[in-house]
Amino acid sequence: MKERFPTGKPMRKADAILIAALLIVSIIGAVFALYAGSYTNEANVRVTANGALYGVYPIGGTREIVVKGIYENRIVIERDGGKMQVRMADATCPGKDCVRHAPVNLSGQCIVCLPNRLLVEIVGGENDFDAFTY
Amino acid sequence: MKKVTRKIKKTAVVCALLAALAALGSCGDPGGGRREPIRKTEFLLDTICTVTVFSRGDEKHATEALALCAGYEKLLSSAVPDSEISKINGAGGAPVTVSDGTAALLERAVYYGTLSDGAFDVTIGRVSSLWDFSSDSDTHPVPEAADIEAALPSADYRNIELAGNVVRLKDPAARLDLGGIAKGFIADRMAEYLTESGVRAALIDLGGNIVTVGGKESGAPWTIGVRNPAPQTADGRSEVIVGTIEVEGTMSVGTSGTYERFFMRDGLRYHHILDPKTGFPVRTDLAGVTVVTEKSVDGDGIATICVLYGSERARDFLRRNNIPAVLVKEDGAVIAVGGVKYTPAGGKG
Repeated sequence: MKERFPTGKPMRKADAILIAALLIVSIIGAVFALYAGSYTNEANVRVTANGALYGVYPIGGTREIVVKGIYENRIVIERDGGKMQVRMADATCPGKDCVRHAPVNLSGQCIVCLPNRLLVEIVGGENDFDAFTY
Repeated sequence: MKKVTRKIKKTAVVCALLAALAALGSCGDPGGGRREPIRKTEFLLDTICTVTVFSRGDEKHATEALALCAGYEKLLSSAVPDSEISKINGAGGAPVTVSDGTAALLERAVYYGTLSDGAFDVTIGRVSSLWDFSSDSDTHPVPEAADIEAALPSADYRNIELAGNVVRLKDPAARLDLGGIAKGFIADRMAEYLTESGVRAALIDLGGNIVTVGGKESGAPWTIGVRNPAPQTADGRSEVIVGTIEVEGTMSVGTSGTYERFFMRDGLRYHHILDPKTGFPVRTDLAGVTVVTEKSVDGDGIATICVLYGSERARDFLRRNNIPAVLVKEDGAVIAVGGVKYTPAGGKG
């Protein structure tokens, strides 16, 4: 039986194909846009160890990340008052500059452990500025 | 009835078409009109160095710019045994022929020595080598006063004799340490490279010294956050930045501060900005100084001079020379001078 519009008139095959094709394209596009959107607009914590990507973690929930290299670093993602923050909770490196570093919570900020060649940075997310100077 | 059917069909097709166009539009520009920046990062110059570009085609230039930075580190670091600076330091007062880059940087270093009447002095190497502010150390010994006394006379920028590409240290005991100015010089070379390569928008970040290259696609100015030297407020809130500075085009936004490299000993804070007159960390009421200049080498020199001067003298110096800057005092007060486009964070951050 042919598909019918509410008016009762049969729908032409060409119309049906066109509408179906356009809807498929829209759905694929919408899914892609949603995926890409969530990737670029939500902040993540990116951990790079010795130049290689160690992991990307959503900043949404509490988490502890332990990275073992020449030294060991313990990174904590946690809630501080109203907002999420990332801090270096502990490290076995000699200077411990990374542990003394203030917690970070804005996209583009980072904590570095030079002796362990570890970079913890907040990526993605919306920001009011392009870079930090310090 | 037929007319109504046609109208419904038309509406359905138009709706589907619009939906498809909207979806395709989002595909081409994920992130709601904002391009995801491409960041390249390397551990260089004893810090973290990043080049950010905004177009896939520029990715290779970001990598090349960092390679350029690594090359200059080999040329200018006194920690690299066969660098040109190490050769000058080890020459025992004999003349050394250096590359154009090293000669140009030394010329700038002497200029800032003269401008600040020796408050900024790159011949402080013998004194600075007595100190260890590096993160690789857990001991951080405070040098003996007698050792500092013995090293101090060699710290005098007037000992640098520069004739074209030939450099000589008139005092064979003098040692160059370009830590206060080399980052800026290198950032300038990287910015030049990116511009010459046709990169229209990029950010260079050498351990917090920022150079903006070109302009954003949106035409909006670059906005740089100035880190709060004391991010934890008395009531426990954290204020990451004190405010933002806006710049347009290729500009340098560089900071010198006493809060980045330091160690604590017996309740005292020893930071890395040494006073060439005493050989000890300078006593200053400034926690950080951020200056906006066209060239990063100038920003590096000026920001350090300001920290050495303290807030009052620094403010006069900046006003007199019409240099946009933001001074953050130890007590948290912020002073914006020289027409800098500064916006306080106002509880944000």
